[in-house]
Amino acid sequence: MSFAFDALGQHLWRSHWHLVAHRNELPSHGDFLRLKVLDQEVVVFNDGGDLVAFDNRCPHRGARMFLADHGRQAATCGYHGWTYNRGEFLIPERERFKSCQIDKVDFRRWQTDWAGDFLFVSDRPAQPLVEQLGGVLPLLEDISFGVTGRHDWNAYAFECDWKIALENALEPYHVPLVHPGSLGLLDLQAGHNEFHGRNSVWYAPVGNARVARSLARVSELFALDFQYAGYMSIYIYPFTMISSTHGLSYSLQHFLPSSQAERTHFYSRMLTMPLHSGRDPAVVASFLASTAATNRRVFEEDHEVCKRVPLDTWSPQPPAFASDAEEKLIHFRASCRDVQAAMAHHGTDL
Amino acid sequence: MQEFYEGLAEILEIPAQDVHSGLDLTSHTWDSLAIVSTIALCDDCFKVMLSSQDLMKCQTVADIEGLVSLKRAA
Repeated sequence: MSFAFDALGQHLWRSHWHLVAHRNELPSHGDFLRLKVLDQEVVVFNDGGDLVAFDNRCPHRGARMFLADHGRQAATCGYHGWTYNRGEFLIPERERFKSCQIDKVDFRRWQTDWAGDFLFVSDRPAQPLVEQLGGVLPLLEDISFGVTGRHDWNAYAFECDWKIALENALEPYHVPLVHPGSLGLLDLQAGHNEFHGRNSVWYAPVGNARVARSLARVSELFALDFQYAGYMSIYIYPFTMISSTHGLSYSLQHFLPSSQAERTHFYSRMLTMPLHSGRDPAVVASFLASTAATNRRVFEEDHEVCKRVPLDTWSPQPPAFASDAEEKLIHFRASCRDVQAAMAHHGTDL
Repeated sequence: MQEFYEGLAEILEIPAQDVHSGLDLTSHTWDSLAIVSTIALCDDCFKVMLSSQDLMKCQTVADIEGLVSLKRAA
């Protein structure tokens, strides 16, 4: 496997805010999740009710603190037992650390900020989160206030560059051929795009009348303060997508750069929405399980087709032959051109 | 019962007159969306909340009606 120096990916990771979790995914002390990006890892950890983000390296000798992608455990290093708990490091034989400023020990942390109940992290943000999100912020807030938790976690390496995987997620032109038995069954109509800075949203009516009627009926089981009664796909520049059909659940996806050539750290999660008061979650258990399975199938189908597209086909310039269904892809490339121009003007270390 | 049969016909995409107690659900589109739609339908028509696991085991319309009767009796 070859090493890839992805200057654009590194710059975007460092300089932007990234949606990493919903508050209700990590409700209890010790809850954590881990994402891999480039040659780093980011852990979000519930530390006595505070969600903190750090690099998953023990500050002592650099061992990974968390070895799983998600779960609940103490933030204890398995090497020498250093433990982070409620804002403090508990260090075995602390008195033996005489020749160093042991009181200043800390993780390498990421800055955090909130859009509603969605947690964002950034290393060195080029702008405040509210400016980065622009007009998509109210939409994210509306969605976030309904989310009750996470139903599914799906993570693996796409065998393609992150830009290839992301652009596939930005255009519905491929859906009839690549997803005939899954996403294609919705018969999504052309709909319309909205652009908010570098972010974008696609709203598409469900053309399959039976599915649309059924989803409308199923919606009655849920207590939704916000709902788009169709298919909605939100792109949060640079690496994140959120999609939903009728707002009954939300699929949160990340297409994160890898340090290996032609690889993407892909993550998808299904976020659940509330039922009306007193209704047993078992009522919709099979529906959620089926939705999660369908989502996984859609991503596998995407992965299979993305493997066919080598990175050397990608350029920040618009495709020579572009459908109007590829408008969001063209917008993404324009955003990348802007970023690359700024990198060239200021040097990559913006 | 007519409202329930009409709703079930819409969910299964068949004419309402074809819905009867002996109708074999498994010979129609009895998928997760149909099941959760039927949960909502039963809530509308009978004010009972069935579980998706119980509905998945139903083979006929009579099986659904049996579940509704059990819930109402409980």
